[in-house]
Amino acid sequence: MNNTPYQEQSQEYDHLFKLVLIGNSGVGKSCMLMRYAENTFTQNFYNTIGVDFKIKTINLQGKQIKLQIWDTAGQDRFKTITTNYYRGAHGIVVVYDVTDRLSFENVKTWMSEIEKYAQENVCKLLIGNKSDLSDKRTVSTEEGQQLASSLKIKFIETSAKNSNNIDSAFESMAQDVLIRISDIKTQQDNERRRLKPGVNVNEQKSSSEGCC
Amino acid sequence: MLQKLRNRIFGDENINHNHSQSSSQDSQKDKASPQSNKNSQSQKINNTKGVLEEHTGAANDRLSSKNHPKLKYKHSLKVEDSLDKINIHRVYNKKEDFTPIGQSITNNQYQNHQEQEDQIFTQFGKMLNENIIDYRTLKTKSWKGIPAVYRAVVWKIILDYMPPNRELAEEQMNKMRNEYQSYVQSYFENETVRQNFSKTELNMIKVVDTDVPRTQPLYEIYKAPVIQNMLKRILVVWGLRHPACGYVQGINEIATPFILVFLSQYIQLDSKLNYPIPEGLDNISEQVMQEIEADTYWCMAKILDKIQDNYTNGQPGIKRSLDKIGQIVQKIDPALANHFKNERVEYVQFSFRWILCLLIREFPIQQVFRIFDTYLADDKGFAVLHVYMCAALILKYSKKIQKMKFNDIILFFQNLPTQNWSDEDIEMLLAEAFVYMSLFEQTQGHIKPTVNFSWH
Repeated sequence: MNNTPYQEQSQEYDHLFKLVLIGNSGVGKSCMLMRYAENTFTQNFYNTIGVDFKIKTINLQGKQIKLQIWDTAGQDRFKTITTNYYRGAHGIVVVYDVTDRLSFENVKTWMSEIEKYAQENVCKLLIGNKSDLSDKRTVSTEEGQQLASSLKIKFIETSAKNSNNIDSAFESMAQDVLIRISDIKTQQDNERRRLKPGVNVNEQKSSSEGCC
Repeated sequence: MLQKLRNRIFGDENINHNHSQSSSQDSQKDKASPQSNKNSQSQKINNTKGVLEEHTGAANDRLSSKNHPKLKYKHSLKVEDSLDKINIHRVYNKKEDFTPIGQSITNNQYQNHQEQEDQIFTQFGKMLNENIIDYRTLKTKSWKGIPAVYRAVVWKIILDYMPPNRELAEEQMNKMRNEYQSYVQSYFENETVRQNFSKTELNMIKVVDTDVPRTQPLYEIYKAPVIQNMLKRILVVWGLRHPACGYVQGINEIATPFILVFLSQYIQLDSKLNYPIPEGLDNISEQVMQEIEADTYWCMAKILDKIQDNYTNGQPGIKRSLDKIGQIVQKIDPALANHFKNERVEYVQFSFRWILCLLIREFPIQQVFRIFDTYLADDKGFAVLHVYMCAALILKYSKKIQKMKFNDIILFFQNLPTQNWSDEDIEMLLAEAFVYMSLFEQTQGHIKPTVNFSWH
């Protein structure tokens, strides 16, 4: 079992990743999470007040990974408390609604919140949700892709309703965090090695720049 | 069961006088209704009976058919008494694993219960029949719960919306209803006004639009178009008329108890079937629906006035309440507070919603009505007692929580198992909250006011 700094005492899993979902109100963050964690979709859902919380354990590259996913309220007024959750996050998912132009235009604002409050190397993912509502769409896939590449982050379109791409979105996020953590671990090992006499320091050094 | 409950909540005179040993009187009592294991709990409450006197007397009316001698120790609890002297730790019994009483009342007890209910019903009927209603007494009686048929009228009176003087009532209410209608006309029908909505205002209206269909989704009645349109207008008008605060998500829930209670004056609502859309809802006259809407608006507005800093920028009211909950738990149940610390659980992670939505999300709406009876009847109900309710709710599950790890604790508190709670359970929680409030609010200095308003 690996002993990374991200490890909790419990023995049930190899890694615990903290993910946070952000984005405008009503884009479907809670529904995505419900679909992912419980594989259900319901019309009977509430607006999120403050933060909600779900857990999902997955297997990635033979490792048990526990995802602790925080679902945040979208209204601006709640930013004072939701931004508190950015700092401890390994990954942040920004969600917009492909049928809601305003939620797409606001992605930049959400990104600047991440800059402000999250750790520097936090993994990021852009999601355009409600891809099933093709007749109501106001944001094209290309626009989403363009925005994501200008922000240098990954992009995926999902539908919580018909469960399209939901699993792969979260898994790709988890994958990125895993890579990031291995990077950090290699780096730490290198640094530790550097202190020992007789070890070649220039052996190899992994990049500390963005994993996603 | 009710007898037992009464003792648990409000203490028993016999037991009160026998602090450590059981007298023969006690033993007899125990035979009649086995509750010797409740003695310690009753005794705990005994410590605070001075504070509780007013409510104890009335609790006897409500929960026991016997006439108990009145408690005489009005000032037995002095302000300068320290918490150690009061022995606050005994108020809350950590050894007991909490399970709600639910609806499990036996026939015999039920009959007893029914008699009391009838008595209360008559009392309220009498009070409300007066030409000038005794506002103070009405408020005091309401603390212990209002019969469903009178609830709508009583809520309006004790919220200072409807004047207790019958002759003035109609005129005053008409004035308020007309005023509300004029807001609706201006914001929804006047094109000049509508075209001048600012970007912020339009954004706010958009949030209301997304929230209305997902308000109280477990109850079908809130899906009726006529109800949703009503709710939308109420929220938009409130938001536009309170520009410093604006509509904040969660306020939508606060309107919902009023809509149902006021509607129940005109149409039979089925609480047992979780409030389906009642037949004939669309046959209620437009005027009546407009009155319900205006009354809901004003009642909601009056509550929000008392707690507006929960919703304004930075939400300082919530920050203050969360700090207070932390201090209450720390004082009463240090082991639990310690467990939270070790597991890195923060109150904001689950209590934020409790405070913002006034617990409406956490209980069946039927029980929310009961909570509101007390909150409305207590001058400090929404602003102060509510915070103690949140603390009492946490403390209730102490034993269970202390066996859990971080993830389970958060999941538990975010999905409280309150589906089977009855009014009796709610009354117990209210009584506990009241005891804590009496102790902490009177013994100044044990709760420190929040100085730091930063969330980060």
